[in-house]
Amino acid sequence: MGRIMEMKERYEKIAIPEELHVRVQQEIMKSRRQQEEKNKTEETENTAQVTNGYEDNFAVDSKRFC
Amino acid sequence: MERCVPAVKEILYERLIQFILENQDRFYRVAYSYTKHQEDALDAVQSAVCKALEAHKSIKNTDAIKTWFYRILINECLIIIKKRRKETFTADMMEREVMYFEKGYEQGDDIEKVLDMLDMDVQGIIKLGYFEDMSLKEISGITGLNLNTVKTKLYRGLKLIKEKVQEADLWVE
Repeated sequence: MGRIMEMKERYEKIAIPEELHVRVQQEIMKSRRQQEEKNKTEETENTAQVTNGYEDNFAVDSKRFC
Repeated sequence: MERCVPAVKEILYERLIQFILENQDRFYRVAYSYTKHQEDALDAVQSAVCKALEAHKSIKNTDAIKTWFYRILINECLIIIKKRRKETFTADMMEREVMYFEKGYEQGDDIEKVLDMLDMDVQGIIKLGYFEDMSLKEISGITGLNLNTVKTKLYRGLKLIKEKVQEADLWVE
């Protein structure tokens, strides 16, 4: 088991390239941008649905009074 | 109630990002231990991060993030290894295996060579268990193997390593 522990020590010493952090950061930024766009689209769709709903109700109410 | 669901998803998304940022070095080590190649390991981590962020909505709770992410990462490593094997599985690999049994090879990395000769799933179990200090339950969640299968594979793998290393020691003596 001692040898496996020695191997673990070597494993923990594996050098981390700087590029790793750059690449991970890039992916996170890309994902955040996509999320923001998605949220904006959803918000616009929701607003449109609500507005359409008001308009429909208004049309029904108007008919009632006519 | 309907408003609560997107809020939870947003929290899980932020937790996932936090988990990735805090553990990226560990991901790289795992990926490197599988691929044994810097560029491949970087590709595996990047691809895993990308896929995890794209699929973040499938996370059920924060406790599941670790197992879920490692499963994606290991999958990416295996895809890269398969791809590379197709390209380079030739006499070079065979030569390496023969060299292992030759007299007087370097003692320092013999155990690594033995580990590399094991099946990929056994290698993975040993690496996650001993290098990443994961529990058998976590390993079972990551590999998708039954807990008892994980135990059996782990003990068989360790036994095999022990036998091969002893065998190698005899050669050196």
